[in-house]
Amino acid sequence: MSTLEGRKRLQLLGLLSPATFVIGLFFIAPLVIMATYSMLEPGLYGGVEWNFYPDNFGRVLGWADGTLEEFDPVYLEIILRSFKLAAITVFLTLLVCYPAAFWVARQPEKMRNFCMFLITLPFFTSLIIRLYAWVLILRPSGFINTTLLALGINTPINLIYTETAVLIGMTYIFIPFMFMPVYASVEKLDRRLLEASADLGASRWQSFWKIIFPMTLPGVAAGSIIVFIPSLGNFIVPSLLGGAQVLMIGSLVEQQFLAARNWPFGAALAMLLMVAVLICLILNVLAQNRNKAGVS
Amino acid sequence: MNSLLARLGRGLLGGYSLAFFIFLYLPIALIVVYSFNSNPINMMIWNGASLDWYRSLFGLSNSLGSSKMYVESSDQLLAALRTSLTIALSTTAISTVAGTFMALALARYRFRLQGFYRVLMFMPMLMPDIVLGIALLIFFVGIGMPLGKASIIIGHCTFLISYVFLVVSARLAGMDTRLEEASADLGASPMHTFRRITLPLILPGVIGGALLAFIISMDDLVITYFISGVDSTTLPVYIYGMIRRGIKPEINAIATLLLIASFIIAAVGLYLRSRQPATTKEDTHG
Amino acid sequence: MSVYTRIAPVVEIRGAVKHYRAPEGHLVPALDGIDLSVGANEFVTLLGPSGCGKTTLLRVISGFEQLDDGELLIQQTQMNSVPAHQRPVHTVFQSYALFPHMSVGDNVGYALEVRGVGKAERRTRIAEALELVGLGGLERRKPGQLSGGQQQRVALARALVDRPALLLLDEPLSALDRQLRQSMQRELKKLQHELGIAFVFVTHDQEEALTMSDRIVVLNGGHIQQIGTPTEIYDRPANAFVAGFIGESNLFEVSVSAGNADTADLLSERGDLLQVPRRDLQVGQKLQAMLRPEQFQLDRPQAQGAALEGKVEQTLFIGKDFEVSLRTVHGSQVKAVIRDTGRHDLHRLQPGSSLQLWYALDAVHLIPEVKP
Repeated sequence: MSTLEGRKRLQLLGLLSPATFVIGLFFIAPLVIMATYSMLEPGLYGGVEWNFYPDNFGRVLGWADGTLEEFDPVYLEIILRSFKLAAITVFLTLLVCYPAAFWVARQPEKMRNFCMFLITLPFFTSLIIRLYAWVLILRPSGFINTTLLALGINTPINLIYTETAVLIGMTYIFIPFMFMPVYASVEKLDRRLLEASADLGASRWQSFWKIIFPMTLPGVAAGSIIVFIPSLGNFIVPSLLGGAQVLMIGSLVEQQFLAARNWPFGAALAMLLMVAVLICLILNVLAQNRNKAGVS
Repeated sequence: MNSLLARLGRGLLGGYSLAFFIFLYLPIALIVVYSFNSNPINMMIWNGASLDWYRSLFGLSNSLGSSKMYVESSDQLLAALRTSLTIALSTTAISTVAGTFMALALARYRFRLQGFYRVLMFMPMLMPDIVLGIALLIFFVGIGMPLGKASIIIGHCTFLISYVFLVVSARLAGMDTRLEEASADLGASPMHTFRRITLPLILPGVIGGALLAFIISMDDLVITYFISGVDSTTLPVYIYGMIRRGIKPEINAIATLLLIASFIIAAVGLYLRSRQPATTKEDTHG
Repeated sequence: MSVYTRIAPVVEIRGAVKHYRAPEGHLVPALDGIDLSVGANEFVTLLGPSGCGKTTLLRVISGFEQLDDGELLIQQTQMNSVPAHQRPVHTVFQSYALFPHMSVGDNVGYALEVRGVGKAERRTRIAEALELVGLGGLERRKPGQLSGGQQQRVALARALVDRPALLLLDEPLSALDRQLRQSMQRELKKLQHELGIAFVFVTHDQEEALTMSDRIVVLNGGHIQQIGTPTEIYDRPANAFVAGFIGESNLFEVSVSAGNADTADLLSERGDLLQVPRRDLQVGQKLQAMLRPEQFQLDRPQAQGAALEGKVEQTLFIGKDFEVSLRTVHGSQVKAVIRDTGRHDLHRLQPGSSLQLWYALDAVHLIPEVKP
């Protein structure tokens, strides 16, 4: 008995230790240190002073020095904008993916597999290149303005470095994230319901909202979470398509670490991001549990 | 009336979906098309096809005459590619082993910390890149480890282990545990069972996980951006820098080559997945 | 004890106890003091409803479960903590558990490969084993290309290829359709006889158990209810559970009301009167009396008999026989199976008509009152 159990224990230890080592030492520990940093005083030339310094968080909210006197909401505005843009991105990806998911689910099997291949493919291609494509399209001498010019419209429109550009970019790169879970829940629907939805006339609009949409809600919720989280903390999209005009939390964090060298403040911003993500996840788990309780 | 509406509705849905796929692929197609545009002044105005930008990418002479100015950048590009490949291959090896081990431990053993590990393995995937990136930056600077290939490999492993874990776990969950029991029942030692039964059956999952890890590692920008050193610029970081410095036609050529490479990898990956025999559960329940 | 166990038993289980932890946290007994021995060349069936412990018992023998208490001996060796792969026992799984990535030949030869048997010898023995189950020449197929019945045979060949001392079969026929199942039952029985290997067979199908077994072990709630040959179990069930689980039965809760010269009267709770041979019954003694439906007949038997009287409620032709539901004058429901090949008695079986159901006195089986 003891040798059998002992050998199993040893095997288990061997299987667990590599991942435990990497994740423990290089994931958990760095996060703990980051949390610590967020409460330290920034040093003069980068670096930190080892004093407890809660004002990093005050600064996030608009009071830079703890005296609560000069309210400067510049960071708060960026944070709120990040939430706004992430929420709109979720809405846009949903708008784009939801009807397409219905259409794909109704196709014959071969066509369906081909469509799934087309939707998965961008996930395998470089993110930076997919964003670069939009730089090409949106910039002042880009595809859209050149096309307009060729059509004889001589007033170039300013597209890049706007919130719209950031939203287009984020929607574009996060489409597969939304499509997969939504499609999974649509495919599970009863075929007859799908056919009913295909027959949706104006008079049946309500039956869609009352029956079909609620049934796909779990997929919508899952997709929303996995689009919202990376949107909120994104800094590549605002940096390429938003420029200096449209900053998001991610851009701020990057600035603090690579330009302003105020690491504690950057860490505080990152903490904020992390807490927001955790709250999202907890809400999701709670909603799921409530759903389960409702069913059983 | 009703059927007319229905047909109209279906037509609208089809049109919408067509637009969806165009939206998905038009931007990519534009890059490829314009990478062959010979116009050096405005790359958006078509001026005839040429391979100039591919030539200049590899330091070959082109119709612009001297190619000296590009030679340097092509060296850097190749260096970045080498760095990326080194990192992606090391990362793939480490995270595939660690992720598969963890998946086996959670699927085939019973122990007290199981619930904890399940949550833990999800965390790195859900953490925003940028948070992980700066946390690692602070950590490496704090312990005095120089930023370079090693730090990037470690950084990638922290979250790619989770991806491999997830893919392999799904495969293990789809596998009938009776097969392993049957093997033991016929006299095979646990090691023999693993080699002859478990490993061959989860291999598609392990390969899939490894492929995923490789692709994500090759493509990672955010985390790498924070923890790469001077001599360890990866391909995405390099391209990111190029785009920030200004748009040059060469970028189109690089992008097209990368797109082709990733399409090939994706096709291979999806082919492997479709080729999986109708194994495990289906035919044992028949 | 049957004749088989006098020769050295292949398996001996003494006082086996095994608990499971329920999701709510408390322990549930799956095996609660099991004693059993299986003789060499014996076909023993573990029979019971789902959750009775039969599969657990099988998994204890094969080594996939460990006993909490008690002793397991295989071929006179204590095996409680010997890992599964070191036991001289093979299993045919309910789902067959054929290795999907290996050919049929590699599946069948697996036990030999594991032991390092050389390639050439392996090939002949694989061919033999496949021949044995009637699948000669299918070595190169993949399990996925076979029908359910063929997969079943491959699983059997795989488990028999190295002639284990004992073969365990975990409801192996449950996935097959009725006809195939019946022919497999005969074939298994024949194989077992020819090979001289002990079989322990798990099923919840009582007909299957009766057909195939040398001995049946009826299990319920982790306890052995009865061990015996099929006829013993069928004719003389040890308790109400066995009587109800195996075959159909009419059970009466009775007490001995009077003793005559050579018979005794039994009065049921409802007031029906049954007669049995006197034996050594005490007046006032409480018992259960069992009559199988086919033990009734329409006319007075040649042996000493008695009858139950009542009205026919329903008559069903169930092929060959008629199944008659009778409500006795005292309100008890009695089920009888009547053979009427000439259709002479059909008029007597009309619903609503009065009927006497006769039985031979010595056909009544008495079950002592279960001690609380």
